[in-house]
Amino acid sequence: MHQGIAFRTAFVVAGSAADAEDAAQDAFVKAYRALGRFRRGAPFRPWLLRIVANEARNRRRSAGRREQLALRAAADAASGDAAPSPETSLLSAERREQVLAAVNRLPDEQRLTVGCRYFLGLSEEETAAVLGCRRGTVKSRLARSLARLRTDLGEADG
Amino acid sequence: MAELERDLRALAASLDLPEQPDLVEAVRARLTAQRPRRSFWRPLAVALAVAAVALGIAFAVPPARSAILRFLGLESVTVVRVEKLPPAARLPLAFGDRVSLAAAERRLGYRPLLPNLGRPAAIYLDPADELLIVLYGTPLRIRFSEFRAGPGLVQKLVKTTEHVREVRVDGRPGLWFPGPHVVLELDGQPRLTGSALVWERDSFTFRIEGRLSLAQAQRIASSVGR
Repeated sequence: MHQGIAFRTAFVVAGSAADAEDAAQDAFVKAYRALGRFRRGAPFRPWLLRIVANEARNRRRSAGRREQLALRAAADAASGDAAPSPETSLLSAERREQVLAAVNRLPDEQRLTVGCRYFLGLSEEETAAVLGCRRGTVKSRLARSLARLRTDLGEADG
Repeated sequence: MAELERDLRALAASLDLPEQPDLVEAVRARLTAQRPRRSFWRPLAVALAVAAVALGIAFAVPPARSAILRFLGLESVTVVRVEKLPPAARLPLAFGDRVSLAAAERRLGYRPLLPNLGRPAAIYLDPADELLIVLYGTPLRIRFSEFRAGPGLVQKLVKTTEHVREVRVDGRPGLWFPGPHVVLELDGQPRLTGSALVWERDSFTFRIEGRLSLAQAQRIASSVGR
């Protein structure tokens, strides 16, 4: 549902859970008031996520946070009673750390693009709304990010 | 080539993300605190229906705090799955003014498309001249309605156990609700209803309700405007 993706998007952009919560809340209130400007027939989620991302960026800016959010892997549940999900078990812990570290070394814009597309599972259109750019820019930025990640991880390109 | 992308996607499952806070209550409190009570009619109902798309049913039906599991919908119809249907009265089937077909056409500004079911038992038009409701049969057997599509104008709540089928009506997208569900229409009142077929054509949304099978409903739907 929308509130989950709104909060996660705000978190990835704002870099803090408290700011993300405030930003998502403000965004919903603003979206509600701006419903009259919502273009009929347009998809709702990109429109909402654009507002969310703007709010999150403002909070991040006013908090004076310069450093990007460093994404972390959750503590390994291997010893717990929860079985690892199929997705998780595809990845060795080592590979996971390597890929994540490489993502965290990406420049801000590229990291955000990768975060939106792969971690949040947003569509290209939604990612463009969050980044405030065109869809074509999302595509090219994503391609550059992947190339950079491959080089960083020592994988052959292509 | 695709390995990295696959791993990135897999990584999403193991990311350390903060717990999801409950935004619905906070946002609702902020909105209701500032909202004047007087404008309780249609603009609000429309706005609520759309806002509810964003936040869940808590807006439109305050007592319902059921978890919203997922959405599906047409452009102007949003389907929200809830664990429990909110209390809804069996409201009258129609609201607004009872009008003749000619009067309806005049007020709507276009000639409404009707199913080939013979003479309607009654025709109603909502006060904003947007929603046309046509009743057929004595005793009443079928409720047909149409309105110009706008996003999220009508919301339907379905229990998580109910199946909603995506169907086609003359090649256009539609949804079939085989069982009881709650509809929030333009008047904003939750109304309990039985099975229904909803579909969109051009910029219009049509709905047929009644004790019908999907095949019967589709046949009637195909006759609209013929």
